[in-house]
Amino acid sequence: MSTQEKFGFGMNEGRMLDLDLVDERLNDKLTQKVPSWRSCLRCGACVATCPVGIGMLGMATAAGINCRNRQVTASGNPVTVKNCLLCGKCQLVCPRGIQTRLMAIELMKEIQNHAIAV
Amino acid sequence: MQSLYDPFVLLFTAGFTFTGIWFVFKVISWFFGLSTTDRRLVTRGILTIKTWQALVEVVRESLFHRKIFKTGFRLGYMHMSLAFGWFMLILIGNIESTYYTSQLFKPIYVSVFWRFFDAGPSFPAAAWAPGFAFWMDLFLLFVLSGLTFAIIKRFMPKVVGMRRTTRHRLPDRLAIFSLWMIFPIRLLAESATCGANGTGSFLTGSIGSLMAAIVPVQSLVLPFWWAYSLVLGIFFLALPFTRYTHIPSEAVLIFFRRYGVRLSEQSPGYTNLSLNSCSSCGICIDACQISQADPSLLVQSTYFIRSLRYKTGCNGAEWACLQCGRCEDACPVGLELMPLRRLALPDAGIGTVLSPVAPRKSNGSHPRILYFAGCMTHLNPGIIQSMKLIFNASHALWSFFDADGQACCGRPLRLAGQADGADRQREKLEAEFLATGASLLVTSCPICYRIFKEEYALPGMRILHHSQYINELIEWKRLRIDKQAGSAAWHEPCELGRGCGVITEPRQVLQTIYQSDVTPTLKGLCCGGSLGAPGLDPVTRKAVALGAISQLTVHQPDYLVTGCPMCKKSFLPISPVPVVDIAEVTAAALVKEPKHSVNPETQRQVLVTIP
Repeated sequence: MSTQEKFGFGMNEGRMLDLDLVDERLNDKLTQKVPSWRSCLRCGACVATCPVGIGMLGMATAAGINCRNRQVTASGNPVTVKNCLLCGKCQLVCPRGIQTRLMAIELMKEIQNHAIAV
Repeated sequence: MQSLYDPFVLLFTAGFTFTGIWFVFKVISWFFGLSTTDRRLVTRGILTIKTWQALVEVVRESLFHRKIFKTGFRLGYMHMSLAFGWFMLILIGNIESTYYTSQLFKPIYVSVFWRFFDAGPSFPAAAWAPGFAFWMDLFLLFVLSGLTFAIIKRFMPKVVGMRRTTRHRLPDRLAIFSLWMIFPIRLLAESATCGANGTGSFLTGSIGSLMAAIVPVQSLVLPFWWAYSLVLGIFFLALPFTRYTHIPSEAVLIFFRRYGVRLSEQSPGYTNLSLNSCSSCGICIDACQISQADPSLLVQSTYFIRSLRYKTGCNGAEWACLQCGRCEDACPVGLELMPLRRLALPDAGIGTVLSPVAPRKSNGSHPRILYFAGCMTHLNPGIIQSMKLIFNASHALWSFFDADGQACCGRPLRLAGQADGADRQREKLEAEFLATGASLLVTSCPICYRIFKEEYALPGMRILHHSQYINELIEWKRLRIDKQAGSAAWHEPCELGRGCGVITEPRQVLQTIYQSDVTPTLKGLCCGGSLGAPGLDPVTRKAVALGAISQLTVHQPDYLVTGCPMCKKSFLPISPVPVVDIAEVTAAALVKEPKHSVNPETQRQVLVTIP
């Protein structure tokens, strides 16, 4: 008898985050260019204020900055970054004062240069 | 007749010929580097009044340096004495040599070294000789006085009224040293010749006779002239590789500019000409607020232009400029520094995909006035609430265009060098604006206001910043204002004041509302929040803001009033006095009219935001 039948709920398949597979190259590159990115709290304030609903965090996630071994591949999602208006609201609301506009530009440059086609 | 040649002239002639050939090649490359339209502007402009106007401007700026006199008298005198004095030495030397030799066309070195060739007995002292000698001595003294200032300036810029001056490259230092040497050596060479021959006027004559009394002056004549020719040769040889290219380039720039050529991506020749025309005078360094906030950050235009010109890379400085335009305002050459910076930024293609926002539907009404808050204003809801109050109090037929907060004017993309994205946003918004059929567009954001004014094609639509709109309403007596107690200082946002020339209207509003306007007299300051500098760290931004606040509140106002949501956001956390928007103070000062009752909820919100 499976757990599903026994208790009325089931358990997910075992999932594992293999840290050996994490590709930090893009993150390292961007951190070099925008050192303040290191202090991101992942608080999401940028996403909340973004007029096009991406936010710096959204862009970073779309480009797969954090965990490249997930299913985000090749050119990341340049469309999401191209949507950015560089209006700078995210920079104003950011509690850590990250230079989000520069981050967006550098991220886009990396995507264009195919630096993250892994 | 005495020979008009001596081997020492070769050093000067070599250097001068080299620079001459370089200049001819450069002018050709600048001209053919223009776009077809710009080339046509130049060729069609040559035979018009513009040529004369350009000539007048060349005399005014390249010789008299009128704009530098506006920065400071001593600084202006220093530049003028070197440029105008040297020019007069060349001119009088030329007239003098032509007068005596009766040859209009002669090798250029003859007039440059005229005092040497003049020395012989075959040129008997004519009635004119003392006159020429006097004027030559006078202008030499004039140049030497300016040179003294220039040398002192290098080590103590404060003497000529500058806080800092440019740190030069090695070739520039070599050239500046040879320039400094030219005039003292010329004085010695002329004095020695005059001493040996018993000629000369008050300067060269007296020094010459003094030298003749002490040393065997006859044997010194040739060595001095060799040295003079050598420093001239070095200077001219170094000229094409140093900042002194501005001497010939600035004149060409003035002509091209008068014919209507402007910086654009299509005219790389004009960009190169602009880079060559920068004299690295360093006036932009003092104008830049970053040079006080963080002296180690060399983002100022003089350094930026240098890195572009010698292709040394900007080292991140291209992203650290606030683009407030203070340097452009101060630049004595009148270079288009802000467009130059934006041309140098890499276009990464951001903003090229339009945001997936549903098209704005007309609600059936046909508003006469369209209100565009702008994205930054949405972070300051008090401004929007106040504008609503003002519109309703003036019984305007208005509509809130970007109530959803999702419209972008494109200026942030433009400032970050993302030209394609900016154009696409502009096209989209232009069409949406025109579809509303409104005849007046009011915006609360100077950043949006500037791009609407400069780039948008909106036929039949007036564009106003809300401070202008409020001023008009007050003038037309559509708003009734209760005079408020206290004093206020106006902070002029860069994009509004310097950028669009909206200077008097907000001040008039302030003077209507407050008892006293204690705005200090200064050129518009940057609040530090600028969208121009994506790479500037928050610490420097705060230092810029603190510097601006300390200058703005020097007369201790009760309120610091601004017209830009960005400035308000930047100043609020650090200002010792309350920072408010001009719309908020107007809304708070409105005479309450009972018959047009305002929603009490909105009114409460407004009052809460106003300290």
